This record gives sequence, C-alpha cells and structure tokens, in this order.
Amino acid sequence: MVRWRRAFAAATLLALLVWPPVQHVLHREMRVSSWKLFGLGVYSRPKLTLRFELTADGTPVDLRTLSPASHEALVDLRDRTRDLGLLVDPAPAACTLARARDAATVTVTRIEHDLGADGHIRRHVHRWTVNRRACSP
Amino acid sequence: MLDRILRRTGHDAPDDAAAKLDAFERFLRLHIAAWSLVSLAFRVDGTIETGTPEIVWRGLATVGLLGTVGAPPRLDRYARPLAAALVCGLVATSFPSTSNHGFYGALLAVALLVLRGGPAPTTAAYLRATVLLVCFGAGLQKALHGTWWRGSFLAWEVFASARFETGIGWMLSDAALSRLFDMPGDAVGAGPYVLSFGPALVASWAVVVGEIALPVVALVDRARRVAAVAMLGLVGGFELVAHEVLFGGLFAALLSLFFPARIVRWWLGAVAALYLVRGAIFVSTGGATW
Repeated sequence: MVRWRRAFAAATLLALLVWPPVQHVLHREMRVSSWKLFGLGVYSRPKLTLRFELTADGTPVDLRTLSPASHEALVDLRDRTRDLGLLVDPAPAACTLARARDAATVTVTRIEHDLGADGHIRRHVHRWTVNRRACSP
Repeated sequence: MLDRILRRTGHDAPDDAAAKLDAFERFLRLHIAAWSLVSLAFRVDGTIETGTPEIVWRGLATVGLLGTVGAPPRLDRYARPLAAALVCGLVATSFPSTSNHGFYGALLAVALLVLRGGPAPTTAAYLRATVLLVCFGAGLQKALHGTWWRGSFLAWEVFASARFETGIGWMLSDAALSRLFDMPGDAVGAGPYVLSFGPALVASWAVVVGEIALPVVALVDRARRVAAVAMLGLVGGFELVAHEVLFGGLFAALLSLFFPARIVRWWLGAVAALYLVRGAIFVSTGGATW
C-alpha cells in the first residue's frame, strides 16, 4: 500500500479506537448525547426528559406564551443541545427571546433527566445567561 | 505495524478478497441508498413540506445512490466517488443528529474510494478491523456508562418501550414486571430501575462482555470465525429487541468478510433481502413500523 493509503487506514482505525472513550468524557462533562456523533454509545443510556426554564430580566417566562419565532428558536436549541449538550451556542434562541420580550438579560436553564448506574433517575441542570448587548442587532 | 494488526483479522487470497470487496461494495451502496431513503421518508411526515431544499437534496441523493447500486462494474470509477460524495453530503446535512450507521457508511464508502486501488486482501482486512473496533467501542461505552451491570438500561427500556417489553419482558418474573410498571417514569429520584439476578441480567452482562471480548477473541486464528458468528448472534439479538435494521444490517454484512467470497455473496444477499422485506413492511403499514 502506498504511504497515503496506509496513513488513511492507520488514522481511521486509531480514531475508531480512541473516539468512543473521548466521547464518553464529552458526555460526562458536557452532556453530549451518547447516541450521536459516532461515539458508539447507542443504548448506553436511555433518552429521558430534556426541558428548559426561561427568565427574562429575572421574570419567569411561561413557555405557552412564547411568540412563534421564540418558540421555533427554542425548539431548534433543544434539538441541538439534545445531541451536542453544552457545546451548543444558546445565543440565537436567547436573543430571539430577549428581542421579543425587550429584555436586557435572558437565562435559559437546561434541565436533563438521566439514568444513573444505580438505576435512579437524576437531574442535570445548567444555566446559560445571555446579555442582549451580546446579540447582533 | 499496520500490516501486522490487519493480518490479525484474517488472511485472504487476492482473488477471493477482490470478489468479497466487489460484493460488499455493491451492498454498501444499497445500504447507503436505503439509509437515505428511510431518512427521506421520516422527514416527509408532515412536519417538513415537500419541495423544501432539504427534501429535494435528499431525494436527489437517494436517486443518485440508487443509480450507483445499479451501475455496471465498468462504471465503478465514477460510481465509487459519487457514492462517497453523496453519503458524506448526507452526513454533513444531517449533522448533529446523524445516526452512527450513517457515519459508519460514510467512513466505509470513503475507505473503499481510497483503498480499493491497493491490495484487495489489505482492504478486506481493513474492513474487518473496523467492525471489530466498532463492536469493541460499543461494548466499552456500555461498560463506561455503567447502566448495563445492574441491568438499569434494560429495566428502564422494559418500563418505557413496547419493543423492549416484548423482547426482554418474558425473561422477567411477574413480580419484577409489576415492580417496574409501578415506577413513576423519569421523575427525579425514581427508581431503582435495576434487574435482580436472572436471565435478563445475564443477558445484560452477556451483551457488554460479548461486545468487548469477542473482537479480541476474533484476533486469534482458530477462534476468529466462531467469534464472528457469536457477534452475528449479538446483532441478531439486538435486531429482535431493538429493530435496528440498518445498523444491524451493515454490521452483519461486515461480519461476512470473515468468511470466503462464496459465503459473503449469499450472506449479503440475505441481508439485502431483509432490507427489502422491512422496506415492504414500512410501505404497507404507511410508515408505522418496519
């Protein structure tokens, strides 16, 4: 085999060996889905509840009162964070909400339920705070 | 070093390896086309309107991939890069929700594009090495997540999924099933979703230990084909319970490469026939199941 073919074969086999444990660390630290990104963690954990709680300038936002644009942006954020965990940028959704509510600060609290190795359901909470000054006009 | 590792997955005569690769490459194109078709069907479910750029792209990609399946061998020099480009495009446009077998199909298509100009036995050995690493990686993930040692994952799925209730529930006593079905779902603190000692917990351990150990056993000359058949058994078990048709099909197809070309051909034909049957079920039920 010529050198570049050997390099391709060696690199891809090494990646297949190394990536699953790396992706496991990404799941543990950054809530990246075990089911996606070719980490081979399908059926390692069930897919449980993932929801958001929102505040605009400290006031809780009733999700049923969201404008269509804010709702769509949050659905998109939920879909992406379900796969990519905390690696996603919440700003597009938060800025849409900030504009709709004319709020200076929006917090998006990500609440994900998870099955522990002991068989109990536990909760992982992460809060993103986005200042409207960081949003594009 | 690379050659020594690849040789651990078995040896092929050049003609036999080339025949295997011809058959597998044809199957891989069919598999990728099936994936494209299925993901297209799932998107045209009323949530995405027909005629949107995504649907048009997926439709064209599916037609292109089906074209590569039917392309005569003399056109392989065009069909091979086309298939690789289309599957890479599908992976990129479905990211980050791309399925694992989508990534795997893309890797294999690119690998065939890169490696088929080299010695056929080495390319066949490379494909076998990938399936061993994929099996090992899946087992390693289950072991690291820890949800299979006490049967937590299976216990939850029996509670939450009709497929697992049917596939695994019969291994549990009535008392164990009642205990699980009395649980309050995924409320925080609920549980424990665990299995007490019995056939289901043994199956849970067998999956993790099998996925980690069998690829290692397959590196031993005398045990290689037995390990391949055992891995096929694991895949068959998953198929019966989880109905992962495309991942299971691709995995089973790769396991055929541990055997001579004449077996590979009918093995791949059987997997392709399974795809057609499942596709017919999908169409006849209006997309309800497959």
